[in-house]
Amino acid sequence: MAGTRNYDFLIKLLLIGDSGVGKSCCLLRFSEDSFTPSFITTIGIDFKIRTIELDGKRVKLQIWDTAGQERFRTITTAYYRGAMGILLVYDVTDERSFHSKYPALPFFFTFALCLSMTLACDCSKGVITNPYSPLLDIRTWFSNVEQHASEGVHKILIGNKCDWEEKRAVSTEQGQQLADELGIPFLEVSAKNNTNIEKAFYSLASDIKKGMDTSKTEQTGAQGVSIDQGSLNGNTGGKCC
Amino acid sequence: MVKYTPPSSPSPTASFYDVSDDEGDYNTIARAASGRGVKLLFSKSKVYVHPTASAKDNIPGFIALIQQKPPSNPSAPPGQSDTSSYLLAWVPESSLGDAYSTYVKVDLAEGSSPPRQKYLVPPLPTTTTHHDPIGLYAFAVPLSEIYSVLVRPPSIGWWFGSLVINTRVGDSFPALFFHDTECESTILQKKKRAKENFDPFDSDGSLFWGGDEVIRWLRRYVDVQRSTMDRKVYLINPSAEDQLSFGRPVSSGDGSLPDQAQPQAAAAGPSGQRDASMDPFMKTLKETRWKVLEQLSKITTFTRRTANEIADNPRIPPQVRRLMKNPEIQTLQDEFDSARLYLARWAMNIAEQSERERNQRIWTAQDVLEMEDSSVGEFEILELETGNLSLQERRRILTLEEWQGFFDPTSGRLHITVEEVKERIFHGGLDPNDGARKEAWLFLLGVYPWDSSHEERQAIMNSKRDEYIRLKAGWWERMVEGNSTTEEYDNWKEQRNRIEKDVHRTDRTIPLFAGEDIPHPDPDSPFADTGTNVHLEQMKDMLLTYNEYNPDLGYVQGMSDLLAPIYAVMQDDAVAFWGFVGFMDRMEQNFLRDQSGMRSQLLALDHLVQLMDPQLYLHLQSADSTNFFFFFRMLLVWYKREFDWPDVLRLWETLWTDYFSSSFHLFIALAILEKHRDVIMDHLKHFDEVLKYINELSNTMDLVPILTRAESLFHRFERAVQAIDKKDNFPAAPTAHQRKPVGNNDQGSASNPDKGKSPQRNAVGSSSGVNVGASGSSSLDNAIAADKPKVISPELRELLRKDIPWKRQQTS
Repeated sequence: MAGTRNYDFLIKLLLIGDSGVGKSCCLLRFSEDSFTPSFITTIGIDFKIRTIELDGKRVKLQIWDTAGQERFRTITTAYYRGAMGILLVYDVTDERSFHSKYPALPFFFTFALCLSMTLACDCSKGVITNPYSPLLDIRTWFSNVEQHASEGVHKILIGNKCDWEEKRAVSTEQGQQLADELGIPFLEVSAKNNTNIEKAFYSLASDIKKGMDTSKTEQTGAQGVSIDQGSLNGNTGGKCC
Repeated sequence: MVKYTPPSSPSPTASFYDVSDDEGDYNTIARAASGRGVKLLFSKSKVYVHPTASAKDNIPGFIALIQQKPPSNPSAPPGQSDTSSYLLAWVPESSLGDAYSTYVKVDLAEGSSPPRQKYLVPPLPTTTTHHDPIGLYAFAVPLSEIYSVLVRPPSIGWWFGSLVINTRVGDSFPALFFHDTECESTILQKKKRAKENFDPFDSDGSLFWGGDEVIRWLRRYVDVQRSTMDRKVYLINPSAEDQLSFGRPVSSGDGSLPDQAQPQAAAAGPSGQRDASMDPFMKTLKETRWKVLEQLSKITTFTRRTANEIADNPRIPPQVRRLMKNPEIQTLQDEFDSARLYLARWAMNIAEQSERERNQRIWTAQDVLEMEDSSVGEFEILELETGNLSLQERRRILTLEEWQGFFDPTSGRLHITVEEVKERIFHGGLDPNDGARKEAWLFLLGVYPWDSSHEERQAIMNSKRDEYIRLKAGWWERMVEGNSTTEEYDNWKEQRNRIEKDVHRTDRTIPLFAGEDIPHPDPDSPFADTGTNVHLEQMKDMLLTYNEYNPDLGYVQGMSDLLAPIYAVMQDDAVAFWGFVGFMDRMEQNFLRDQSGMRSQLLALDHLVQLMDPQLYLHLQSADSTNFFFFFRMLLVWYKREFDWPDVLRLWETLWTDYFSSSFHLFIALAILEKHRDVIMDHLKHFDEVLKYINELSNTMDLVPILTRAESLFHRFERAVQAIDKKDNFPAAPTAHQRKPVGNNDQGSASNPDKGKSPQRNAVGSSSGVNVGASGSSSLDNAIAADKPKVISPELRELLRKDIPWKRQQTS
């Protein structure tokens, strides 16, 4: 927490995606290496910490978990800005969480909360009025991120529950295609079977760290870091099972 | 840590000591290694050393009086003066091995003199100092080396009586705690006393306990004098000087003289002072603190559970709090990073617990001042819990029988006032087992009007049942039987999937919802493989019906959490549905798209903390935490994730009464915050730390103390509002500062627009000497604020109302 001796880098990550896609399960698997099938719904926000080692450096990951339902997006949006990396999670057995074909209804944010890591703002007065779609497919999430997250934030597309082949509704190819379209890396994972979970977090963290290293050496500040996707896009195409 | 291992069962070799009757066969300690044994004169079982704050670390053992063969010095005078051959010892059970049974036999031997038969036990290494706090704690000290014994009989404050032995060289052994209820000999002796004298009390009127026996036995061999300076101190073979230091001895005999001696203000010698002021518990702590911290350092992930286990031990005094502030220890704590936080909370819990146990202590003015200075209403809370004798009565659970007695038997109308009923529910809660909730909740949730008759209620219930069936049939016909537009259907299916996902992860640890005993009706459901149970299916239907009943709001995550307890109590879907509708009437605002309900509640909490604890507020401000976002979950589902199931039910019925305020749940939030304010202020510097800390309070809190604290805080709030209102009614003195009218709240933030502050902060300001947080502008702002008259914001005034704001608007 307050101590700085335990790590060389602090990286803040954020999990977003529709309700029930398994964000909390992915996080629990990564942070505590455990899995609970009948988990509880996430209300509000929380985070977990895990320190990993990358290139001989200790990197402390602070991973924020958010409620998935669109009704609570007003809250989660406030956290985008502080995040350095975002995991966009969908459920490969639930097409809706990946690609929604239903029309959007407008609704309004009037409530923004600040995180210590975001710019200071007056939360009691902060009124943002932006129309958003209540549908939470990946494109919607992605445009949300584009709008609210800091520039140059690293992203990764995650298709969870890839252990459940007989229920699969979104193919690996579809996932890869969307990732390519959005220009972000892609992995299919299973929190239940502990497939690719480590890889997903490590690769995102590693991309961010590389970005930090690059920006440090180039003395160009935090922004304008090129995203190195080669490590993820090139290889197995993210198929997990 | 020394783990207690049960002593091995007596083996044949144990009898070796029993049968030995040869005077010459026991040894001096010096020749112990090869010898046959020393004479065990007296022993008492279940005397514990408490090495850490955790009860599971307690080490059971025997206190024993042992006679070793006198040193081969024929010139040594016989009798009492030859005290070096008698040893007072403590040995852990686990180290005794075969000798265990001998110790037990001697313990149970009747009579007040040494057993006729000689019991020999293996000699114990003699010790005169206690240098090894990590060791087994065992000691055997010659009586000649004992300077004094500190005796603390069992009392209300401390469960176990204890002894601490101080040596002539100025050292002390660990405190020995007498677990009298486990010690067979003490139980027998107590019984015997009761039988013979009809008097379980000792000669000086105190209750008989294990330590008495030790003193009695010591008196057989040495001169034991009770100090009049400090009644806890018993001097062993005191010199004349010692006696002077400790005041005139009351008695050299049995301590049977009347307790007439006043503590003398005689100048105590240095040694005397040391002993007289020795706090055995502080001593224990001194010896164990490093051990505790060492343990911590080994635990890399110092979990909440560990912290709780330590906190479980009720016998650690508030000194721990001071101990934790010791700079040495703080440095060490820093090494543990987040463990430091748990330590702080651990210390707080322990201090609180022992405070509860010691609530009979006399409060000094200093205590009161400190309370007033540091936190809100601590003193008041204690007053409430201990001073008010009727509180016990008020906290009595309301049973179905008592509930039914509130109603006229013929008409079924309430024949006491609604306020009286609510008061009983608010303070006592409803009996969880006799069905009282099934009846009372329907009133609390507005299904039945309080003034209804039995017949009226029957009519209401009949029509409500019909309406539920009609509502349910509504969506069923359109959606399942396909009488809807595609868009309607798709939206419905979306909601159904959401509900399905949430119901399957709502309160599944509760037996009612745990089963997976029936096949899922929809083979395409993600839960088709795992199965479902009839209650989950009812939950889904009720939530879909609510979606139909309140289409503007629809189903939102969190609602399943609100429905589950109601359904679990009612176990009837139509009844539970209407109860849920009643609950949602007051909770609806929290689920609106614009989040206006949550926003206004968090804002009210913001104002409340500003008024009630400006110091804490400033700290939260410096930690960018005045959005109070860490209370989001608690306010949305009314602490469902913070307390365990039975407590949630109890809390909700309390809140439903609106007995003091329809916003009493915000006082619960304040109570939680106040309870942890010291930890928050000392250790949490950033929003993420505050959030994590508050989130992790989940399932660590006891409800009743929080309820008590919240009630006390409410009264304090009420008085604060009254006081401020009264002040405002006086005409302003000519030189008075310009008074800001109520509602003109913008000045403060306008003068300081860059900082995330509520516009209200200028209005309530602070009267205490606040230490201002981060920025200079904030400090200036605060100085201005402190100068301004306090104003009660509309948000705060709302908190005094018992009706629910939006319901009020509807009816007016």
